[in-house]
Amino acid sequence: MSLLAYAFMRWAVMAGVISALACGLIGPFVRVRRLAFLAGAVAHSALAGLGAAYYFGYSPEIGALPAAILSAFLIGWIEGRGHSDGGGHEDALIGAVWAVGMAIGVLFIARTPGYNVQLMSFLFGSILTAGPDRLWFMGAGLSIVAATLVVLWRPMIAISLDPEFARLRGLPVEALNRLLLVLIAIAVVLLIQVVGLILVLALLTLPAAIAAHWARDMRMMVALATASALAAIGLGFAQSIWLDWPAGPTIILAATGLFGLSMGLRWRVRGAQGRPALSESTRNGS
Amino acid sequence: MTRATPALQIDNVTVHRGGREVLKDVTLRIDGAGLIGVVGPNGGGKSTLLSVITGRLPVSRGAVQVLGQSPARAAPRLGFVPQAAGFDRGFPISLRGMVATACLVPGLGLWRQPDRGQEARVDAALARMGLSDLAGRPLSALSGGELQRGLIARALATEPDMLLLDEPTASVDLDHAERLFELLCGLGQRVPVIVVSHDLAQIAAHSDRVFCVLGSVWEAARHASAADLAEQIFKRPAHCARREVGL
Repeated sequence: MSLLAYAFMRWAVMAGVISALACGLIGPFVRVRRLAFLAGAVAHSALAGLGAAYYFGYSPEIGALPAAILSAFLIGWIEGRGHSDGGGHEDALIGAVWAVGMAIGVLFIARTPGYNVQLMSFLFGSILTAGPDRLWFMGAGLSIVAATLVVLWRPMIAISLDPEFARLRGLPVEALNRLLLVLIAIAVVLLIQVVGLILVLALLTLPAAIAAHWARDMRMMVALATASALAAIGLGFAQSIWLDWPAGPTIILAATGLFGLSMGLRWRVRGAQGRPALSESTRNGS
Repeated sequence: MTRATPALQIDNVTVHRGGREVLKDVTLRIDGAGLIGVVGPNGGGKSTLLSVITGRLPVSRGAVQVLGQSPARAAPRLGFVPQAAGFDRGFPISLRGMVATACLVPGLGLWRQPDRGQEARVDAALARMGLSDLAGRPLSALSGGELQRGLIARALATEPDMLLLDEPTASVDLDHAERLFELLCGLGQRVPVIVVSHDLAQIAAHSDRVFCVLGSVWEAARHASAADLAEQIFKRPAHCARREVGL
């Protein structure tokens, strides 16, 4: 009998597809804006909300989402202040938000009696525990991310490419930046369901890094990042069942393997073309 | 902008940055079209002056009017051209895509697709900079000079009433710097073109007026050579030929 005959397997596959779409949509922005550290901090500090929700007896994602959004705003504010002050020490403060969020979460978990399997699945991911409720939550989150990016695609590209020029054109750069942070926070919470908050950063960066090897524009980058994330999640999930390994880490290793493959292929293609045409023409003005 | 309204009017402006006085009692006036050079040593306040004009930096004292408005209100009418050298060429976008970001307008226009008029403006700006054939290339495949012209094309696509350029020749060789300044001269026939540059030879050869920035701002004598400018800004700024500007 096919594994897909089981409802939990179908749900897991759907959770994987939703996660891949979230990776594909947000990963390229994380990459071009160089926000990987921010995304990592958001993911880890979400543990504060997750732990609090668990302590008070609510569903973990109810706490994780507001905590992720709050920490995204806080980190965005710290970054903004760093840029305007020219202090250059904002990375230390972001690291502190990262650690403090985790510390609060761990304390809440420690104060909660018993051992909760669901909570552990949020820490390290468990695609197989995805049920209809969680899928609805993930689907709603993905819809918000996708609809926002479809409507505001061009301004998001403009503020990512050259925020100063966008500001001069009268675009609400700060508001759009905050909105992007919210979208990143939503995507992080969705991905936590699949790989856990410890490993979520890899899913936001590796598929986009693979896409960056080949994409000529952001649309292509989104398409390739989505395809790469689908392949990584699919391969990792299949392998985890085959080898009886935990799904989250196996998915990350699959993504890493695909990244290595893409990098090797890129070297080979560049090598076959001789000296890369791109850097050849960038040396002098012409 | 009426004939009587100066393109740029800066009156007794003082600016502090990080607790340090970067510009002090700056007064200058630019009436209309022309190529205006702004020169000075690093840390002299050139970039601060640009930031004040574009409304990015508030002034501590004094008044600034750009195109007859406050800098913040005038900002959408300015065509700002950043340094190509500092631009992220790894961003996955075509040259045409980058120039088309000029068509974005605030408010409800944010989510609209560009209309035919805007598309035509982008094509015209690319053609004017001689970049039509390269429009589909990604930024990473452009040379320093091509990217710099692309950034100028993006500014032109906004149909600006004033152009501001920050070190446009920083990433191009001598030959292309010459051609770039000839292009800027052509643009300066219609609108004021303010060029901040270390390239004293090009500034001296092409500018209609040159302002020296070293904490304070003064106008160099007309037709000053590059050597004169260098002497003024690096050696004896106090002895340069000062005169009241815009009178």
